[in-house]
Order: sequence, then C-alpha cells, then structure tokens
Amino acid sequence: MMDAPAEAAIDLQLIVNGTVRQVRTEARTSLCDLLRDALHLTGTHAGCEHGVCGACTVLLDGQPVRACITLAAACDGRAVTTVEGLSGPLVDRLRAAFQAEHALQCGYCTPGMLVSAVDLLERKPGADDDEIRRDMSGNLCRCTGYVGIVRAIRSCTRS
Amino acid sequence: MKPVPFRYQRAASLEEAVAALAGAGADDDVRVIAGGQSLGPMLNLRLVRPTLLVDIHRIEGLRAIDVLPDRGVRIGACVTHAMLEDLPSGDRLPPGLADVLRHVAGGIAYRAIRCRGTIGGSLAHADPAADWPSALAALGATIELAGPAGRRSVAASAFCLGLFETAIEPGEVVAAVVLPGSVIRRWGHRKHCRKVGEFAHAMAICIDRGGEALEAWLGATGGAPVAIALDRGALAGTAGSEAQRRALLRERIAAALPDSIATGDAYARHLHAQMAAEAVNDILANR
Ligand SMILES: Cc1cc2nc3c(=O)[nH]c(=O)nc-3n(C[C@H](O)[C@H](O)[C@H](O)COP(=O)(O)OP(=O)(O)OC[C@H]3O[C@@H](n4cnc5c(N)ncnc54)[C@H](O)[C@@H]3O)c2cc1C
Ligand code: FES
Ligand code: FES
Repeated sequence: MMDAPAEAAIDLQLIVNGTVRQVRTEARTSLCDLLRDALHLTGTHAGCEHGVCGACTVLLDGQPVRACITLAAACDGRAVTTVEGLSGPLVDRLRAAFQAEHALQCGYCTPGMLVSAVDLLERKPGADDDEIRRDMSGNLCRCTGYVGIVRAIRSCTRS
Repeated sequence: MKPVPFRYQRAASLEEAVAALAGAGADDDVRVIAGGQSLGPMLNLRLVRPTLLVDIHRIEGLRAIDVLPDRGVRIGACVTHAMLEDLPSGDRLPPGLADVLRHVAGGIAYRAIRCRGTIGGSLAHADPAADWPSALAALGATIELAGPAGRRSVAASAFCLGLFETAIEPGEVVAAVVLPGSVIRRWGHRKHCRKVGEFAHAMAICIDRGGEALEAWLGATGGAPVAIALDRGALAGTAGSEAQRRALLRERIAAALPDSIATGDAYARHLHAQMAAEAVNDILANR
C-alpha cells in the first residue's frame, strides 16, 4: 500500500446533527466513510458506493445527497443531518408509519428511505402514489417489495 | 471502492480554478470536480486516479442564473439540476424556456443526485446517455469556456464530439451555458429508461420556435447528440396520419443515426423512432 501524500490530510469542521465536529481526514474520504468511521454514526449505510442505491442518503444543508459520492472535504463548514439526527413531528409520524406498514425488514435501506422520504414530504406534502414511487425510485430495497414503504409515506401526506 | 489518495484544493473563483489547472506539476493528473456525481463513482471504482482535484462547486459566480436583455438566460456551470428543476414560475424567464429547463432537469437521475450534479459537469462529462447535451443543442445554447488563453464560446451543437469527448481544451473550465431568449412556442422531450432515474436508452427533444425548421435532436445514441432534419412542411404532409408521420420520422432518423445503430441494432432504432414520434406528437398536441 502506498502511503497517502502528506498534503492529502485535511482539517474539516462540520455541523453534524447540530453539533460542531472537527476532524482530520484524507482528501479522498467520502462523507459516508467520515460519518461512519470517524464519527461512528453508522446509521448511514454504504451499499453500492456509486450513487445508485440510496442507502447512504443524508441531508447536506437540508438537501438530500449521496454521502458515498460526496467528498467529506466538499462539506467543510456545512450542516449534515443523518438518520440519527432526523427529528420533529413529521419524522415521528414517518417512523411510526414505517413500523405500522411493515416498510422494513432487514433495515439496510431504511436510513436512506427515511431521509429521502422526509425530503419528499417537505417538497411535495400532497404527493400521490405515482409521485411517491417516482421520487423514491433512487432508493433500492432488497426486502420489502416497496408496497409497505409507499403506503407508509402516503399515510404521512397531507391529503 | 475507495479512491486513490489525492490532494484537494477548493477554488474561490473561476480565475483561481484556471490558475490551479495551469499551475499543476508535470507529474500531476489534475481534475476539476463540480458535483462529483459522475466523478465520484469513477473515483470510487478507480476508473480515474488523479493526484489533484480542484473543487469548483462553491464558486459563487458559477452558481448564478441571470436573465439577459434578450430574455435569454445565462446559467453558471455549477448550477445544479435541482436548482433548474425548482426554477420559480413567473416572468423572469420566457415561459417555454423555463418549462423545458424544469422538465429536463427534473428527469435526471434522483433528487439526491440532482441536488449536487451540475449542468456544467454534465456537459464536460459528455456521457452519451446524459440529458443536457441533446437538450442544450436543441435549445440553441452556447457554452462559455474559460482557459489560460481567456474566454471563448462554442455552440452546444458542436460541443459534444463523441463518447466522453468534448470541445474542452486542456486547462479549460466550462464557465456557463447561454440560452437564447426567442420564444419557444411548443416543445416535446421524451426518454426511455428501463427504471425511473436510470440513464436513458433513447431520448428525443423537439423545439418549435415558430419558424419553418424544427430543432429535433436525439440523445443516448452512444456518441454525440444527433440532429434530425425536420421541418413544418414535411410534417404537414403527414397531417392526420400517425402511420405516415412515423414512417417520415423513421426515414429521417435512419439518415441521421450513427452506422452502428442504423445498420445494426433494430431495437435501439425502434426506441429512438418511438421517442422522436412521441416528442413530435407532444408538439402537434400543441401544449
Ligand atoms: C446513479 C446516477 C444516475 C444518473 N443518471 C443520470 C441521467 O439519467 N441523466 C443525466 O444526464 N445524468 C445522470 N447522472 C449524472 C449526473 O447528472 C451528474 O451530475 C453529471 O453527469 C456530472 O455533473 P457533476 O457536476 O456531478 O460533475 P463531476 O462528477 O464533478 O465531474 C464530471 C466530469 O466533468 C468534469 N467537470 C465538471 N465540471 C466541469 C467544468 N465546469 N468545466 C470543466 N470540466 C468539468 C470533471 O473533471 C469530470 O471529469 C447520474 C449520476 C448517477 C450517480
Ligand atoms: S451507497 Fe451511496 S448510493 Fe449506494
Ligand atoms: S428492508 Fe432490507 S433492503 Fe430494504
């Protein structure tokens, strides 16, 4: 293994789930690896690591992003919200709905599902099933067959 | 699934980015990174192994959308797909143009990708299946480039040269996309994906500005966007007959498609003809 060139180490300051965190890491570190390995926030899951599955989705300054293809270095000074930091009445309802509708089995996809669903419900509070399916198409689930997930999100829409 | 080690530099201005590219050492493999939504996967898969990344994503001047005196619009290279998807309705942009931009942007990948991926990055990456190359060619856009020798402009129709190949010269950065303000009367944009948000297998866009010629382009043909010769007169000749219109489009598309598809792949040919027919139908349906 080649050592990283010394210049590759960088110091970052991020606001993670409301707390300021200072970290030294390598320039090549993804936001996903930083959250999991350096900050031990293992709720953010790494699946495909090339942007396709959505398991790593987190909020960056309130907007959903793929943590696996977002460099930690690019997030310096910004606010990150992971599944551990999601809170509020909408999130409470969504969590309860996921349980009620059996919207998870193994739970691998669930953190990304919740983050994407919160973003969807905030942008489109009245989304119908078609819109929910389209907007959630970037989050893959190997277990549930999606019906419960769509139902859970639907039950949190304003209709 | 981890990139090779590299150095990282965040540019505060376009000038700084151009200087960083010019100042890289002879042994450096330097790359611009914008949203990282194409470069990120390539880094993780080690398809690219740069020694230095120059991050341009936060350069203020590259994130602006400015309406021009002719009611055209200048879109900074680091404007994200999501910013265009969310373009406010109102009188700032000509309505037709805003509709096309919102529609094309909103159809790219997934919201989480759209929140970081940029219009400039899409163009520079020049994936044949990407949405902006054919759409911007059909919209008559001009691409502004900044480099060590100063600024220059290239027509979007001449910007993508082939598979991941563009008119960008070494050391140059895409600075902006400029769209003309002349009124879009009708438009159609269709793409075929096996799964929502996935890269398209066929794509067509048709723009009607009221003149005799229509701007009709195909995307996802495996190389640069392909122009289809189409005018109002020819379409009028097939008025009332869907079958005749399809036959005309098939003939025009066959004449335009790259050889590999025109002579080989019947399924791809069918998909392209179908997308073109639907885009033209959207125009005729007069929306
Ligand atoms: C799962 C997934 C699905 C996708 N689906 C689609 C889709 O359906 N349609 C679609 O169009 N796209 C799709 N994309 C790609 C997405 O649109 C990217 O945003 C886009 O291709 C690249 O933009 P970026 O800003 O992320 O560029 P980056 O990834 O940062 O850069 C891409 C390349 O362009 C260069 N570059 C970037 N900006 C500039 C600039 N201003 N000047 C010069 N060079 C520059 C970089 O050096 C690099 O080589 C998808 C991506 C993913 C991960
Ligand atoms: S792990 Fe990031 S999208 Fe799959
Ligand atoms: S619950 Fe197992 S992947 Fe979705």
